[in-house]
Amino acid sequence: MIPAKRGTETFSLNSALRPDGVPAAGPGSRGSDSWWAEVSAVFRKDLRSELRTRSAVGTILMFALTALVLIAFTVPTTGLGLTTKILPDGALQDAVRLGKPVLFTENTETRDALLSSLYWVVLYFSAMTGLPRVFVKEEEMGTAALLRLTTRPSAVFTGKLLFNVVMLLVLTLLIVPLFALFYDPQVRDWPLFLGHVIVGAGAIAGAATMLGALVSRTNNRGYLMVVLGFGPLLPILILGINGTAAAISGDNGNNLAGLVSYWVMMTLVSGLLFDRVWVE
Amino acid sequence: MNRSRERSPALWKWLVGPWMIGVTLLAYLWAQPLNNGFQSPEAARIIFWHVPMAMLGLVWFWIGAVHGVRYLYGKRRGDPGLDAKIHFANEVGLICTILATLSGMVFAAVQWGTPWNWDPKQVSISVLILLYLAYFGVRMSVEQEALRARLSAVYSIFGAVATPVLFYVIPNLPQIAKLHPPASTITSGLDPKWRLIYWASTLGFLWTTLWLYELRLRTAAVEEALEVVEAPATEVRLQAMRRPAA
Repeated sequence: MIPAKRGTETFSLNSALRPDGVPAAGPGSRGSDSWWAEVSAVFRKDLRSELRTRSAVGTILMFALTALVLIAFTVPTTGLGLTTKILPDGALQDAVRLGKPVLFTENTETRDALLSSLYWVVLYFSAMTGLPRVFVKEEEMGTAALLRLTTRPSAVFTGKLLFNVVMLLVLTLLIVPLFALFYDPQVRDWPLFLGHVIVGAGAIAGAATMLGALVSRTNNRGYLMVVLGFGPLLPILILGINGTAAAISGDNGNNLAGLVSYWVMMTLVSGLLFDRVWVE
Repeated sequence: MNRSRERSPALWKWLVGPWMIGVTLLAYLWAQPLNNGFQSPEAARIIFWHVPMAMLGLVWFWIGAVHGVRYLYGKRRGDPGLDAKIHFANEVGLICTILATLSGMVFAAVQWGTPWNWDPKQVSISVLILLYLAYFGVRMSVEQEALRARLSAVYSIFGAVATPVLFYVIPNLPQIAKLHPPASTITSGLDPKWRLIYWASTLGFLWTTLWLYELRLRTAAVEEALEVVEAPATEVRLQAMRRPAA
């Protein structure tokens, strides 16, 4: 097994990062950081550097915005079969006999499914470009080795996982209003829609964190993530698309339980496998 | 590895030929065509070839994942031999899933009028193929051998964990329309004669793929040995070319 005591033998990441000029404890001193203190240090370090550069948030947001705008003026979301329905059989014959209009305005299930797929596809590709950044930037800036020396792998994983989950949730809350503005989905059950969107974003971030660590160690950091993420994340996308489509239509039934259990399962597997990817 | 090479010609490999010929003859002569719900009653025989392939694809991916766990955590942790086992198990699994997809497409063209209609099982299997192509993508993206083995072992475990959800949960979601029969058709709903041939065929294909797997492990071992032998020899030859005889 990989030695779990690594963190306790080296200096504290907390004090190493202290911005007020207090010298960091030397490598010889025994840090007394608890596991949670390490997790929180990793999380706060990533948050601080993200607030300075906004590289991951900026990437994801620009990607999502570009995709949403491109789709909004290329994919038709109104018209016959999307916002117009034909009367059901019995009423149709009556209407034809009486010379009344046979079409009426109402969003079809096709439109609900289309919009909910578009949302998740945009979210998937945006997330896949942005989420691996937390690890890729450590490798690119040469700070990964230091992080390996100072912090236990499980604390690195948990801190980065928390950061990714928080980041994707924030982005979701930015993308959903844009989505609502551009496509006018006319969601009938907002709590259920938001529930799926939030739980799905958490699940995507959960599975993508470990894959990001894996991708950061390969030669194809740029594009491998989209390919690697597809299989493990597809169940989340399918459950999410089905769930949000039902929420837009106002149908009963939801996939929240499925999403949460897949999230938990993937996070546990990721946590178990992480040190094999991370440690040299 | 050495022991299996000395044991040739292995009887179990010779027996797979007659076994599969027997299964094929039984499938076409003994089993009566099924009339319930099939466009062409003859097409029902797809069960003997297509279903074992799909099943074995999953079985081999899981064998790969088990070797992955052994590679990362077992007693032989870090053994390149285990890495080769993961690699080739996934390769055999990929061959099985591609064959299952192709045979399924032939059947779908007869039964449902089009080779591809995004039935949930077709979605699942195409995702599975992409997932394991991504596994080979990981292998191609890392040069350092130990790291490549470690990362690809992790990914093959990660992928295997997703397979039950892809294959059993998603196709059974109430919202998803499906054309494939449920899996219980094979285990309980089938005519006993058909079930017997089905399992005989599954056994035969397991046998064949085991042979394929073993062959792949052996050729890899030979290739590696050749590299060790040839590399210095090539170097000597190159030096001789650089320095023409006086």
